[in-house]
Amino acid sequence: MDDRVMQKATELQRLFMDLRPELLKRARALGAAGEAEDVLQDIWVRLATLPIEASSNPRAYLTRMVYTAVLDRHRASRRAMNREQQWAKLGNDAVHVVGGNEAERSLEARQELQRLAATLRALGDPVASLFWRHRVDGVPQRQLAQEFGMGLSTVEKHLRRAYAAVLNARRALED
Amino acid sequence: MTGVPSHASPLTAAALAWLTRVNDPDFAAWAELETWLVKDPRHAQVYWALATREADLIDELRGSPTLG
Repeated sequence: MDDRVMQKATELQRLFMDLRPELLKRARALGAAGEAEDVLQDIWVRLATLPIEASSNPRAYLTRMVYTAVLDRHRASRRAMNREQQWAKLGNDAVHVVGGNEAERSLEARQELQRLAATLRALGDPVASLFWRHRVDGVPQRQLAQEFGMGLSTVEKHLRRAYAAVLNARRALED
Repeated sequence: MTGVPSHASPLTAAALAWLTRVNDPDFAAWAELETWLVKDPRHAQVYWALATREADLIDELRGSPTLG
């Protein structure tokens, strides 16, 4: 890390301490409940170890970090739940099957990517390109509205359609 | 809601609308989101089910630039 990045991280850590009560409240409100303190600890570790992008709005940056940390905890608990279900299914043959299970998982991941690619192709443009630019390239909706020459609400409408298709909304809820 | 297939329930549609807004780097209406999430336990349940799945999918997409 060069000096400027380091200084930025220190500033953010200072602001983090100042805003701690507010961020804790935010983590609780987002559903972290009993884990809100752990969420803040996750953020502290990230601030201390990850390269920090320069941000014109450090307060908004920290708030986004709270959301991402809460999301990551939800993702982790979901993965743990899936693993437990796998183990329960495997039963006594567990040790024997684990190796094959890894290969099966990577095959499933590849198939899922192919399905995803097919879904995006079926959506066509501008929906597919908007979704890609927004979620993979990280371009804000306001900028996409300019790039694609359409209103912000139209961008949002297209993106909602992409989300619904990509998530196969009904199935995602039955999982 | 426009843009969401008719098979999606109103709750799913609402959660997707929130997710679409929240994932924008410019999103700032955190208090509003929190109000909606705590209003009904099903709101949070459906929202996080969709948000976690979407985040997993996006990670996969980002790891495979050839799909673009």
